Amino acid sequence: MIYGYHLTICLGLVLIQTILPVGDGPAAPYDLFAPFVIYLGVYRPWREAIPALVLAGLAMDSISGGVFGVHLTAYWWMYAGVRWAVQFLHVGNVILLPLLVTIGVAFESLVAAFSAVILASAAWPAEAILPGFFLQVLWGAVTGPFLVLIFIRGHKWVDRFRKSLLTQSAP
Amino acid sequence: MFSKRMILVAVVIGLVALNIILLTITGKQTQAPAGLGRAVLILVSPFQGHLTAFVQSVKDVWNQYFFLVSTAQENQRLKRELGQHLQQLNHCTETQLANERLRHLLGFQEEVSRPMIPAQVVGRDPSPWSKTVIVDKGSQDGVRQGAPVVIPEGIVGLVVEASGRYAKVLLLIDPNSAIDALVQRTRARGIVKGGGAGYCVFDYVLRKHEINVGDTVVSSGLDGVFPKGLRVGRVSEIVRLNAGIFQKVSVTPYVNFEVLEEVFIIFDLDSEALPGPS
Repeated sequence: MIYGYHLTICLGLVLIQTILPVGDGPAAPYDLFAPFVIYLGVYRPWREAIPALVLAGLAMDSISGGVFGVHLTAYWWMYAGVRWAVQFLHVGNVILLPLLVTIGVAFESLVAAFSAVILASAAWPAEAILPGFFLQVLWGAVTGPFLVLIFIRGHKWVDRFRKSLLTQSAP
Repeated sequence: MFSKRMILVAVVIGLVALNIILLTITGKQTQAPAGLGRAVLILVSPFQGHLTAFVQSVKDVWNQYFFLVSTAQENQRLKRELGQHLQQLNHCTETQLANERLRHLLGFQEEVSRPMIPAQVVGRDPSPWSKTVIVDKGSQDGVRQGAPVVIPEGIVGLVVEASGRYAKVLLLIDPNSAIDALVQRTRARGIVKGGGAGYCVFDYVLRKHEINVGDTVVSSGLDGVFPKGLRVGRVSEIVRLNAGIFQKVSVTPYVNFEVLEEVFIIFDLDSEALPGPS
């Protein structure tokens, strides 16, 4: 059931970021998968996180017109970094979690910007990158931690629902 | 000989290097490898289509029933503009007739208009670093990779990937876009490339050509993709450097990509799969 929950989140985040007809850019001010990856890294074991990471990365890379593999790369290294950090930091607390989310959004944005400037077949002008990057980090710092809380709350709800189903089906 | 920590650091550095090499390889291609892009389009785009239609209907209800404050002034303004445009239309009709007579005299081949298909924008690029949209027409409708996409205001972009019912369109403002173009007034030629942030750059325009701010840039037709004469944008800035043989020209596209909802996809005349009657 938890895999279904992660799949639903992945589909929902892809749709939220691509459907809303506002502006010429993406609907979301930053990649909403960054807080999701932080949530997976801090709160979920790797066997649950890896399929969700791969799915999210492939979906975003396929829909986006940028360099293929850049989202997968960003999510993977972000996840690895978070797993490394949780070994010696209590990242679930009220100060470190927002900091981690902000760093995660900044890292994802940096990787994507790096690919657009350096790796793409036609490079972006560097002066067009900086304002977008800072805006993304700002938005991520303000709203990212709330998204993580929503993912945690959703996960708890799914867990309760699963337990209640098991209780009902037990003789 | 080597500590565990050193081996770990070496492995991480190796993985990062491998990752960058792979990204460099995929960065040179416009399509996702192994049909992955098409597969995801098939899975995700139907949801995008329905949700976009829903959001659009909510937006329409708001705009058409509640947000009518400026409609009266807009109506007056539009009436004035209509009068001006009628005069302009009459002038254009006269010019067109004269043009047809002259073409006939010169033995020009009559320009063949290429078939077009309307499509609706159902999705946008999730990344701010690439400018693409997803439209609800795909290979089943005869859309092929490389097909030009336009609206009456001008060029939108071209199709870079097509699945059964959906296609991905690379917008004119993406740095990967390039169109062979010329200035309508002076016929100065160059390449219009996307600038990324809502504007384009007009490269390889020789300094000897006289260009003014406000000049219209149109497609030259020499790239073999876009038909000749389609509007690209308006010259918004010119920088003539002391050194070099080219001038630096910025172009603002005529298409407003912020409100892009419906587009036309132009078929190739040589295409074997033009859509049949359905």
